[in-house]
Amino acid sequence: MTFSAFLFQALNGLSTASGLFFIAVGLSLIFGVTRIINIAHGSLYMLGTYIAYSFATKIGGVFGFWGGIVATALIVGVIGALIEILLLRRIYRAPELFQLLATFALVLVFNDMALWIWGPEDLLGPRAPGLRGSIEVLGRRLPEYDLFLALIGPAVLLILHFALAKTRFGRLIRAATQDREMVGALGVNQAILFTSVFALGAALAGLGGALQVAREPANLATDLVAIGDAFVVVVVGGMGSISGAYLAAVIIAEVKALCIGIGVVDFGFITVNFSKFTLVAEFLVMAAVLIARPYGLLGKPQGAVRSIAEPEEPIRPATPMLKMLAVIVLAGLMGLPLLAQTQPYLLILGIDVLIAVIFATSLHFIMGPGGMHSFGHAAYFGLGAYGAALLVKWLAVPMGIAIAAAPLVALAGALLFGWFAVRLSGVYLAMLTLAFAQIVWAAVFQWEGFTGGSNGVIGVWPPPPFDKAWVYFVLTLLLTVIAVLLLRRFLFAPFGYAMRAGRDSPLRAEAIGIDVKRVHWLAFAIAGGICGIGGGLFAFAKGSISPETISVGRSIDGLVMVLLGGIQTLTGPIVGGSLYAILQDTVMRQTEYWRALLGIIILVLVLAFPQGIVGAFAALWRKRGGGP
Amino acid sequence: MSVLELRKLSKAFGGVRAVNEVDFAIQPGEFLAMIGPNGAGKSTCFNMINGQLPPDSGEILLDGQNIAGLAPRAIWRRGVGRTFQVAATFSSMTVIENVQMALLSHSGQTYKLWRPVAAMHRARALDLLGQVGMQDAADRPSRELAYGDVKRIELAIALANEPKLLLMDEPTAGMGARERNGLIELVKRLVVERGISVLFTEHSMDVVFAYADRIIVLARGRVIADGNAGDIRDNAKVQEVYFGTGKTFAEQHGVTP
Amino acid sequence: MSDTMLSVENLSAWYGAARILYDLNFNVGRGEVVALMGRNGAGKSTTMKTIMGLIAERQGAVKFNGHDISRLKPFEIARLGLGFTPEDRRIFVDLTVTENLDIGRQAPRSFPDGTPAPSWTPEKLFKLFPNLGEMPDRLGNRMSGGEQQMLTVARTLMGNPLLVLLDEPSEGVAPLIVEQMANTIIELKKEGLSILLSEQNIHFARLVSDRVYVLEKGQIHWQGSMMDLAGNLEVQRAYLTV
Repeated sequence: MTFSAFLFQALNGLSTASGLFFIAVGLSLIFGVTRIINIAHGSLYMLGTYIAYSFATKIGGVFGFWGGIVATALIVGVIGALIEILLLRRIYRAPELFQLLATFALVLVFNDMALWIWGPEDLLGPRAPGLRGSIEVLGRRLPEYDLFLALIGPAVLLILHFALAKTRFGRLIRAATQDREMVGALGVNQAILFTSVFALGAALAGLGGALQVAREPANLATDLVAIGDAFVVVVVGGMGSISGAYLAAVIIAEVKALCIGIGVVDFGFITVNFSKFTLVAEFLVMAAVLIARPYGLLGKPQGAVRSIAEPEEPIRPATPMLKMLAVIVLAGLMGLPLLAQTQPYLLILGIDVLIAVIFATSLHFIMGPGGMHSFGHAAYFGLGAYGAALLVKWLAVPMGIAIAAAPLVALAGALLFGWFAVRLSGVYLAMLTLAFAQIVWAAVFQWEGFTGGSNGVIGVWPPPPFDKAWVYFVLTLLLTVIAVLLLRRFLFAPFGYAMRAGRDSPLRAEAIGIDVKRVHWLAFAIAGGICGIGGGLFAFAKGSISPETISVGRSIDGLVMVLLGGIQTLTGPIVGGSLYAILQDTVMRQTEYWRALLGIIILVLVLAFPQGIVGAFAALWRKRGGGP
Repeated sequence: MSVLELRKLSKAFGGVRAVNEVDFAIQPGEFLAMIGPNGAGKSTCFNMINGQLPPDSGEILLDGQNIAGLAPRAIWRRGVGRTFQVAATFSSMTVIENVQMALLSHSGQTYKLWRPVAAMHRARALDLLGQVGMQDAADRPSRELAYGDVKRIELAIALANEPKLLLMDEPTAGMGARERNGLIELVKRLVVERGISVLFTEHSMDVVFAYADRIIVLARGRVIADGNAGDIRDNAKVQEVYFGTGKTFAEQHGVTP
Repeated sequence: MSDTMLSVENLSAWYGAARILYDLNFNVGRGEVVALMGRNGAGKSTTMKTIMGLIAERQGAVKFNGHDISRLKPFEIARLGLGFTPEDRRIFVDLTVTENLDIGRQAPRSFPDGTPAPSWTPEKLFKLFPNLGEMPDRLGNRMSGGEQQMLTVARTLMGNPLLVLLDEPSEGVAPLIVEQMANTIIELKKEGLSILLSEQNIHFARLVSDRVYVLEKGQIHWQGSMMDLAGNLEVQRAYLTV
């Protein structure tokens, strides 16, 4: 690559950086003041592109385009204000996991709303009136609009910087970011402050999305891609720092642009196509920053992350009654193949349920006893599934080996990602795990030659005798029982106790010689590995897999399963996983808009039990025992 | 040789010198109290010794080896036990499991994945609980305990690694007068039996004067006095910064309207 | 004692399941300085936070200047003219002195009888606290403990309060600053402000307060005039750090 081409790509990267900056800065501002990670921020960005598209095409002309962009920012700002007033205001005191779930429910609702209004096709807006041409830079044609985008990012950064430094609103934001309770005690109405900050952050995301209208098509997958990128930017730049957000956006965008710019390089012994490595590069940047500065380039160490831990009963070995119940359920499941002769679908559903149980139990292992709220558990499911499927595809290994390899692939991934994840806690850990899952998803999506891209891998069928549904069911049942019993065994062993000690009080655990990070890292890896068993089974059960296997949606499914069953009991995820899989199968598939339906169910749950379902019962209990 | 020796230990926060070239030493079996007004640097000093804060400069010698800047768990492994100002347990565990956890860690079994904890080190844990008078509560959920009992459990945990030095941050904070004396007597008896040295901070002067072998007084990051109860009680400087004479106010009251 | 500015009846508070305050009853008259005294953990700070609406689980009646504030949010309470300076100061460390003051700013107000309450501007506060006047652009995290203590009081005064809850103003600051704080309180009292002070240091409290309530384990164990307490060594020994 020539030096001029290098510079040209760098310039191009700046226009991408502006888009990243707009989402990340809003996310960061909102988190600073309200302590809520708004996962729906990517959705607001996506809505921005769609709304701006409608303005530009329905009204058209200069006014429709440029006026539309401004109007879009305002509309999305209002949507943000409504979200804050109608939803978030009710759950500021809820456990953070519920807050994250609520904003994720919005992602589902907004996605289906966009599908309903604008349809499934990609929609590319018109070119920008007044900026249709291109100028010559270093002997290449650079679209004027890209140049405009490259400049508007820093311009907004300057305006924000000035507003935060010099206006009372800005001072209030900075003060509330540090100590919102004190700001309230000084007579500032937090409700108005929170709403306006949320509206501002939303408007910025809307603006960022709207500005993309002439550059990228509006697309239903944008929401999660954007939020994944924004998480990486915020983690790299440092939570709460707007300059950090821009700096990180530039670094990430430049690294990606350079990878594309470098393209295919022949090293003599090996030919590498760097343009396929944009996501790997993004990950490497994030990894490097997190090692050197765990709170981001310009971030500050955060105080103890709040976690409202409900009092938890000590774990006890299964009572005879529970053991009996387990035997009855197992016997019932063993009998299922007999029923299947009349209702063959029952076995398919049974396999789905069992796989869900592995998924939920392994997630619960780190979420409950480990206290690590992973929002990217699908990554390890996907690694297991792809690990098995690709072994079959490329090396034609027998099923036994492929299924045995699945947990190992997932384990390797979990060891790598977990090493970083355990360095953070609370919402940071949630963001990071989600970003990792997005990276795995995108890597699978991008690396078409190896993974089949969006088409996935097909023809992963089990060989005889496992091609008979009942035989495969029995295999799945066997592996599920092994997986669940293994995890249970670990929890009763010193390792499981050390894990809980590290969760209950990291300070005290360290003070009795426990390396909390290391224990939690290994726990993360174990959970990932076990989850990989589910992924491997899934690949052969379906005969084909696609990037959908790793989608954020699946990660969130896991969270809902665990919360449904109750995070504090060891049998909870088994019940929750089964219930959710059956629910999803029977109810969700009835409508095209099942995502929205699921989102609404989550919202109702969160609003009805803002302290968590278990918390609601605990509060009830306390009321009966006296006190307020 | 001293069990612990601080040499020119310093730590600043944002330009404010919280601990400023502090030197002192603890002899084997000594019961040493560190007192001083709030903000004098006691907690900072403590947190540097237990590894929670890295010092800016200076040395912390444990049996002659510098442990400054080591992680808390590494310092614990070298035989320093500690209790916290606000006592708490691993709240999801029973009383005995709390002690078993410390014993498991002490014997390097943290990463064992197979054997259930229930049967491991149970006898030794019961013995430790017995020594702090909590044997009967062994199988109760630890979060149900009264605060004074939590303090006793913490003591049992702190003794699990057979420490040579015990750091106690306000061991009697939040306790009533009678409970307070009971606990400190228990501590004193247990450490004397084992020859453990103790460094503790304390606001209750009854406790300090009744039980400490030696007292050091910190003020604004420096050691301003070091001696036995009598020396400290009569020290004019200590009276001024800590016990208060009321003189400052009496004089000042006269001159201002 | 003329009009009652603040009255508290059967005030209780909980942190989760733990009860911290037990049916407290006390009041502060207009222009009066009242001290809540007691050891660390006696419940002094919790009392102040509960009055300010910062403790979610509370019971009992709190009346301020004729308003029932027992169910109001902190910002609503602050807007009625009740100022709060927390024990741990809670200065906005990323903001300058002037910016910190600006966060506390509220409109001037009057007492119910129409007398204007003392109204504060940064200039006036810089006269009261000359140290702050020397560093208007200093960031909160570059200030000493004593300077932060002054700023936290000044920031509260910017709200032109009728009554100030002053939580341990003498804690952890140098003797010289303690003297200045005492002077300031006397100064504020002269301006007509009422003050509820929490304090462990009897020498300090003695200098500035009219009446005293002694707290131990969340209950009032003694009440009376400051003069009586000063002469009552038995109570001092039993409940205060002497």
